[in-house]
Amino acid sequence: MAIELTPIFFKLMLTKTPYDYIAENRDDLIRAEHGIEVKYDYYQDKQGVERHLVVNHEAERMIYEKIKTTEIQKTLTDYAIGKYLEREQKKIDENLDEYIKSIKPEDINNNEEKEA
Amino acid sequence: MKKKKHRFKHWMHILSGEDWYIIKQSSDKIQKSFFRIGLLVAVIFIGSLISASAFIDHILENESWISIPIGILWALIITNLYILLLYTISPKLLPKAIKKLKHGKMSVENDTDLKNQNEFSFSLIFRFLFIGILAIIIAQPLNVLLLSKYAERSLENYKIEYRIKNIVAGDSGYIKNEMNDSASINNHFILCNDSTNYNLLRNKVAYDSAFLVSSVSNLDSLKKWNDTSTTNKETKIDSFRSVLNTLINNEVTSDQKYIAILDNIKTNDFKLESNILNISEQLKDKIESYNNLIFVLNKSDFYIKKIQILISENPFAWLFMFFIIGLFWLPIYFKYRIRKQTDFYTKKKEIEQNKIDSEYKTFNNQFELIFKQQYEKYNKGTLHKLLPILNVIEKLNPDAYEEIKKNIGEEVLIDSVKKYEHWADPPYRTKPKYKFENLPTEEFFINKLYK
Repeated sequence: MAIELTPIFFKLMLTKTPYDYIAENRDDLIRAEHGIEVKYDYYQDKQGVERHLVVNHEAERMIYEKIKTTEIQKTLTDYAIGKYLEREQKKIDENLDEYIKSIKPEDINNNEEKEA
Repeated sequence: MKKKKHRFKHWMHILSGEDWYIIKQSSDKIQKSFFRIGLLVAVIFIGSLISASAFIDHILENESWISIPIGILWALIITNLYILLLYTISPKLLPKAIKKLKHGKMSVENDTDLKNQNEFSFSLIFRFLFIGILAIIIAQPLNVLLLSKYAERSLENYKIEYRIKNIVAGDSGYIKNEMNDSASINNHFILCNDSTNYNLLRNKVAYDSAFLVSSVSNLDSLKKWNDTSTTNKETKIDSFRSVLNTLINNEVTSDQKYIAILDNIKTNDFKLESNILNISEQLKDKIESYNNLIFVLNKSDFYIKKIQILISENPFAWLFMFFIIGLFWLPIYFKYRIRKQTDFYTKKKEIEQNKIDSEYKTFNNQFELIFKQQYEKYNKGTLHKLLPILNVIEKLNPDAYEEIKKNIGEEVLIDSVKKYEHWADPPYRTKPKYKFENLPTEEFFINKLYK
């Protein structure tokens, strides 16, 4: 029992030593290798207790890339929709009756079903 | 010779439980103090080795080939525990924040002032007790080793009482069986008109019954006297012990005599022969169990009982135990004296802080370098992924193209991460940074600087 418990008691009795600081540095470097940064005591929680903030830089960059890709795709989609709108407007301006006739009722029903 | 002396000194400094390279840089006085501590730790190691080896030697009945390695192992464990505990006795040297939540705000207290540190905390008392327990454990086999001859008389008495108790308990069963079997044999002697054997058997049964009654009553009295605390109790106990011993010896002699008588009875009656054989066998069993008990008692050295006897009867055992406890506590006293009388811990604090600070500086540089490499990789990846799809919209929507390009350009400008520091004294994290918001008056500023 003494052999089992002594290391635990010993650790409890021990104050922070230079080895602990060096070990903390080492851990932070390992995290940094994986793009992770710990901001110690960065913010306070609702009880006023200081908490660390863990930032995953690689993940944040991936999120940024996704957002920008979406923005570019949105620009492309907006452009395509604009062009389509222009073409359809032109058809209506040229001959409205013909345009109305060209719309098939099945297409409208199909669209409604799809929306439902 | 000088080299050997120097090496010995170096080993004693290692055993003292403090960093030897700091001791080496200290004054002669400090070095001597730590040498004394190391020497005491070496004595504790040797004491533990002798104690554990002696204990295992007794447990395994003189198997020294195993008792010495186990003794060495045990001594190493004890010494290691002791050095670790000794190390924890050192004062707190590095700044340590005690964070307390007061009225929803975090307050930080620093307690590294060597002079103001609380000396007798619960934790320290607990460590003292733990070291004391280790000392008590180590002291017991040494007590037996040194003082066992003073426990011989009490141990002999204990053995006699133990023998009597066991024999009386065993005999009660044998005597009951003997009485049952003797009834049928007696009937036969009556029928055969064999008054001599009839009387012999009747007397034996009566004698055994009387032995049982007498021994049980004497045992009860012995127990009562053992529990009392009167002055002449030893004489009384001795007399009861002697009576019981005589009773048992007489009983054994009587059994042996009666076996000889039974062996001489000759009969053609098979039933009678079988009954005689039964009684004879039982008596032989009884004698064998006596002999077995005596053999076991003689073989065992009653090691734990010896420890108990020494502790309960011998004041020297207590003195020796206190001496061992003192030996275990003495290095703690020396360490306190070093703390009070020398600047060793101030110097140690300085060396440790310098080490931590320089390590932290190197760490910060490495940290930034790693993130620089990481960001180089991330930026390359971002441009590689986004530029081809961004180029598609260059002609279609030049405004959006320019805006997104500018944004990406700003993002890839990040080329590293600087370590975030919330505290004014990293890496200890005990002093909050001064906030330059709502700056007070000029007078306050002057006071802050010069008072």
